[in-house]
Amino acid sequence: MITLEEGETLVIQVRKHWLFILGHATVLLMFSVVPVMLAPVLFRYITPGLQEEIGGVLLASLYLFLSSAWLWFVLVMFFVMWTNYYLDVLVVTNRRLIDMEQFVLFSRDETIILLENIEDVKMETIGFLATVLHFGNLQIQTAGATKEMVIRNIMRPDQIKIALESCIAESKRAV
Amino acid sequence: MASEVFLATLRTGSTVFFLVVGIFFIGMTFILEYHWRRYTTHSRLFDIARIFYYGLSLIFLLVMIRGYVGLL
Repeated sequence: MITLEEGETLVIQVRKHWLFILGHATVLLMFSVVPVMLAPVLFRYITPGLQEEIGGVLLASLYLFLSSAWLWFVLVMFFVMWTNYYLDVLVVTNRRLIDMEQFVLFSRDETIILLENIEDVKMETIGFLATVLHFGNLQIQTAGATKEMVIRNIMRPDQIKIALESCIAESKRAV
Repeated sequence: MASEVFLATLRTGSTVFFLVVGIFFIGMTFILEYHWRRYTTHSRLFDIARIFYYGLSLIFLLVMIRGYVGLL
């Protein structure tokens, strides 16, 4: 959560490209179909002996019980992943650049750089996907303790660079 | 017919498993809510996310209870 100072306005707020959450979501989607894929194998090949012994109804209940627990677990993991994605954000205001990096739950890094301390902004787009889907890295050279900051895989780095440069120019004029 | 020992083991195992899943879910819900409340401002997106999270969780819980009752 960002608290803006008096007279400070939000210029741009950007997250990592959705492709990165889509990749993780696809893996989770594949995990979620595991019970469906296992059902025919379980009922036809592995457990005819067990079916005879404990009865089909009991086995169906066991399947229902375990598969719903599995899907519940996958759901929780999806929301953990989405939370990590959503809380990883770059904010540019007319005074500061705030990079909030959420690694995993309870692991977080927050860097604040005053715009007048930024010396150089460089963007790079590497590869076919990055070019077509408009994402890339942003390198920021500063005069502060953090000499260089790299923000990886953010959406529209070219537009952020332009917005950032105009904010820097304005803040330097004001100083 | 299944042996009594096997059925008793299955029931005890499913009860323990149910408790473990319940504790895990409650713990993870607290952790997620903590992050959502601490690091974000209230928004419509989070209202929708909560509806999905709690709605789907309720569905899975009910299905799980249905399976558990069938095992007893």
